[in-house]
Amino acid sequence: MATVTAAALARAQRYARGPLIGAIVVAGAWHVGNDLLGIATGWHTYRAAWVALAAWWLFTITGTFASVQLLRAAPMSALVPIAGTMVLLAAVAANAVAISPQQNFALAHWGWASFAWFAMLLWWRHPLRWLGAAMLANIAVTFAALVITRDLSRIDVARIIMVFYGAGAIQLGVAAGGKALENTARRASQISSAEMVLATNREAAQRIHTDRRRRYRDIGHDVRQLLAGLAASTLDPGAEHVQQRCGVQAARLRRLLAEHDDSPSPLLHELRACATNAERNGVAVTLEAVGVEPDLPVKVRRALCEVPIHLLAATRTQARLTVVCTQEPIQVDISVVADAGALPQAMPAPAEIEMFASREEELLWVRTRWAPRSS
Amino acid sequence: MGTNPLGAEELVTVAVVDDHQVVLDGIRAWIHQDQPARIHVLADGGQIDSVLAGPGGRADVLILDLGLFGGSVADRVAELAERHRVVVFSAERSDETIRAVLAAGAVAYLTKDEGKEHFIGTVLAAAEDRAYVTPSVARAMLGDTSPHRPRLSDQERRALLLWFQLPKKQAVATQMGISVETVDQYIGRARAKYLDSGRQAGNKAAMVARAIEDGLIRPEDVR
Repeated sequence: MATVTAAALARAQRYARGPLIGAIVVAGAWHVGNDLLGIATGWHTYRAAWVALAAWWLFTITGTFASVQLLRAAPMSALVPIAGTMVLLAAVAANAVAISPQQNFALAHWGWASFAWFAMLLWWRHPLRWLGAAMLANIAVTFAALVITRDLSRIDVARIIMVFYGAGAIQLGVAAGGKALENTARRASQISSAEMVLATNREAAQRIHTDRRRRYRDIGHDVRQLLAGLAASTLDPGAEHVQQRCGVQAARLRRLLAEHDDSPSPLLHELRACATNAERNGVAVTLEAVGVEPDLPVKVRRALCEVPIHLLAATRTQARLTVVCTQEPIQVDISVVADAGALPQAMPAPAEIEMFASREEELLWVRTRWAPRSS
Repeated sequence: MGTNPLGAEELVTVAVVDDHQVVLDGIRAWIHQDQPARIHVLADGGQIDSVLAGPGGRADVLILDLGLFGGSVADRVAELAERHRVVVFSAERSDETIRAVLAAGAVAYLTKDEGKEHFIGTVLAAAEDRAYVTPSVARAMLGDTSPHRPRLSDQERRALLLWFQLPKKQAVATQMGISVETVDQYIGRARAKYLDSGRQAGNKAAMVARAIEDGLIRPEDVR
């Protein structure tokens, strides 16, 4: 489920990009169209025009940095918005000090009204209360700068509050809207992920079901042929090859049943089913295992069981079946030593499995080995 | 060691502890069938202390069943191994038990399905402080994933693996393209590394000394 959540998060971030890009464009356009215009038109009215220009550049650098980080979805330390806010507040103070007393509400005094657009970018990924706190700091700094450098009338104070209210409400609204959209997107994408998982599971279960039915049909077909042959006396139950065929089919049916069981070592469980079948036919089987079984696809388990099934069916009295699983490298090594007459000709050697056989006096030894392709 | 009726060669003496009379009788039968006789039973019975109280206490090898009267005596192996060469002969086949008992100082471990062939060989090897690696011990060594396990060479590991898979040393030798003696050397060296990596309990010191004498490990390899 972790991957699903990660995918949902990625999708939610993609949805949340829209409001973010909108906010960056608005802040950028405002900074050029309003702030830069204010500096240009009021250039000669400033007490210190270059201070206002420097403040404008501080805004530009801070805003650009924050925008790039947000667009790249780069991790941002909490120190970045704090430091950025400090820089903006310094620029706001500088702009307030740089204007002449008559320009408190002129376009040349752009910093205090633009602050919130840039603070909004800096605090984009944080709860709204942080942006609120930064905006309060802006009010405090602006007031302090104005109070220190000039006399303010009560009307001036009322107008300043109005400007703060007007400018701040918009940015708070945009930031809140962005967050709401992000949350909705995340929820929607979590739901769609859960639906996808459900659909995938349903599809997988359907495929497994179909596959089992097909295998059962195949095995059932072979078994029916065998039974029909025995019933019609076209097959001799005393003949060794007929007995072997019976043994193989019985073991396959057992293995198919074992495949449905929930076992911590499915391969061993299925091999045990094969061994039990051979024991019923009078073969003494020892089954030994070493190591922890890796996760094997059903197809591989089936293929690994095929060789023991055929060899045990051809065994006369005794067999030793060993399974060695290693983790480094990942490998499964199955060995069957049995007093089997000859290597059954019909024995398939599946492509992903390495097999070799040898004979030591009356004993036939067949070893099959599987390792993942990549290793 | 005692003497056989002809007095020509020394007999290996054993004391056997098992709570099933049929097992005690079976062991006596195996020993009896071993011709010429190389092993002599000094005492047997179901109680460890009563078997060791009499002549059994002097036996070269103590053959011990781990499950006695429904309980496990695995925790007594360390104490017994201080004074006796303990060969465990048990129906318990788990790798953990085998490794724990060998670490506690048992000379060898035989599972009850490993039979007569391994039994005689194990007892004779134990009497000489030589390790006899049964397929079940090979399995326990192969399955060891503890961080303190010794580093086996590829050949040692391969010999152990084949000895676990194949019923006869000759078959292992044929597969590896070497002689049975060399197979024994690889397996013996792997076991000696295990002796050396475990704590020095019971007869381990004597077994390490024998492994050095046999050229399986070098004195400087011993930590």
